[in-house]
Amino acid sequence: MMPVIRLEGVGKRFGETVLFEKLDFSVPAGSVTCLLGPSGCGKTTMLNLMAGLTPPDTGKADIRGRFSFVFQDARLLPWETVRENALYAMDSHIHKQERLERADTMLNLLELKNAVHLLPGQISGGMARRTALARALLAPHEALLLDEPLSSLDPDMRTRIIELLPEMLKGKAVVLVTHDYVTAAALSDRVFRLTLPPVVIRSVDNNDLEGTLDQIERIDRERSTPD
Amino acid sequence: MISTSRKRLWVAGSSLLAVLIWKLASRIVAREIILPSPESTVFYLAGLLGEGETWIAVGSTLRRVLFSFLMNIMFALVSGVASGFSSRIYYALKPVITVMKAVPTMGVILLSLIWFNSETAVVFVCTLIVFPVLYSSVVTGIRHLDEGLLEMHRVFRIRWPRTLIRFVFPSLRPYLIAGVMSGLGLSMKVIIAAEVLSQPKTGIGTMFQIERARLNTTGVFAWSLLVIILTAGLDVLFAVLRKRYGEKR
Repeated sequence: MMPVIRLEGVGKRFGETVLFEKLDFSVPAGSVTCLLGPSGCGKTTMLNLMAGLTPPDTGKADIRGRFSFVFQDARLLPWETVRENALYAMDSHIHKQERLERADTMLNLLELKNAVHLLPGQISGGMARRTALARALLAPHEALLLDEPLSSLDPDMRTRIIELLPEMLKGKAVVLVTHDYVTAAALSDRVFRLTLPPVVIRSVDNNDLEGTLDQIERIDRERSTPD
Repeated sequence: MISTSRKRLWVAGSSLLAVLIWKLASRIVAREIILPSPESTVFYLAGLLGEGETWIAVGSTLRRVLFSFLMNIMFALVSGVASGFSSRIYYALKPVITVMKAVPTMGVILLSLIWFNSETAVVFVCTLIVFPVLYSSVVTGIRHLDEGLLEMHRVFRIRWPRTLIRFVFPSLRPYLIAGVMSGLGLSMKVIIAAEVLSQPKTGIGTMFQIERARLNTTGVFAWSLLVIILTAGLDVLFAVLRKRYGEKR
């Protein structure tokens, strides 16, 4: 299948630190890839490269069609209500009634029903993140990039949303940055685990690992057993 | 912070002191033609208010102020947004704005009197003087747009009409309010100054010139007092409008 999100031979360095060199990476439609790893390993940079927010030094990065992004901070318009913010990235050619219905269904699922008419200044950080998630999910885009979307939620809420997400992500090409193994295990078809720089070439046969979470955990166990 | 009643007390106190000093000075000078007393000024003003000609003059000046001010706001929004987003346009406009800021008001008035009729000249002068103030506040507003929200618009590829109406203009509001506050008072001053020199058929500036020609200093004082009251009135009106409609989009 044609990949929706693609990085080809991407190189990126910050000063002396080589974050990526000749990195190849792609995500087809209908697949969720998780980027795991400690802070500073370049997860967010990788996401920004895909989104075109950071230009690569070498190689190329692109996404077919339009895409949605959930940033680490909510980035809502402070003078618009939760519902207006959730609807913000939706196309206006869809009938207004239908847009409202879809938004309210989504906001109900994300447990924001009682907040639809509130402004971002009147809701908690967790609610703001869920509003941003609603905005990204409601946009009819093929690709979705999520930067730790569940990090500021309390554990119960996180569990409930993790249960809902697979249905909502269906059919899209998704890249999810997280350092939470539970989220990764529940949502992803594939995991790309990054290690801290300095790494010369980031690929499966180097220090970084690509595979299902089970495979990666098995490799970890084998590595830690002395032979 | 001091309480509202205390604030009023201080404002009233200082105003009273100013009037007392004025009164005292006019006593010492003791010649109405040099420095009219407060009471004769107020009396003269009361007399003016009873005349239809006064209101026609006030009306024409206010009309010019509002017309040129609204035009200025529109120009400033269009060019300010354009040069806030494009540094090419910003640098292309830079010399124009610098000239507009530096050019002497009187020089402009005299030149525009040579070029236009008195009605057009007044509005032209006001645009030239007030536009840079409003333009600068719009550009500053664009420069201070929230980076994260800008990035969000870029990533989601939100179309520009929606970006302008729902993100850029609401973000500009505090800067526009500041611009309107200082721009309105400035417009009033510049328009009257231009009227004094260009002598349109009716207008506060025209009346100033008439009183001066008659060596009626009391008249000049009374008209000045009227302008102060009008400007304060505009400020209050604007504050009320802002309170009533400002919080909504």
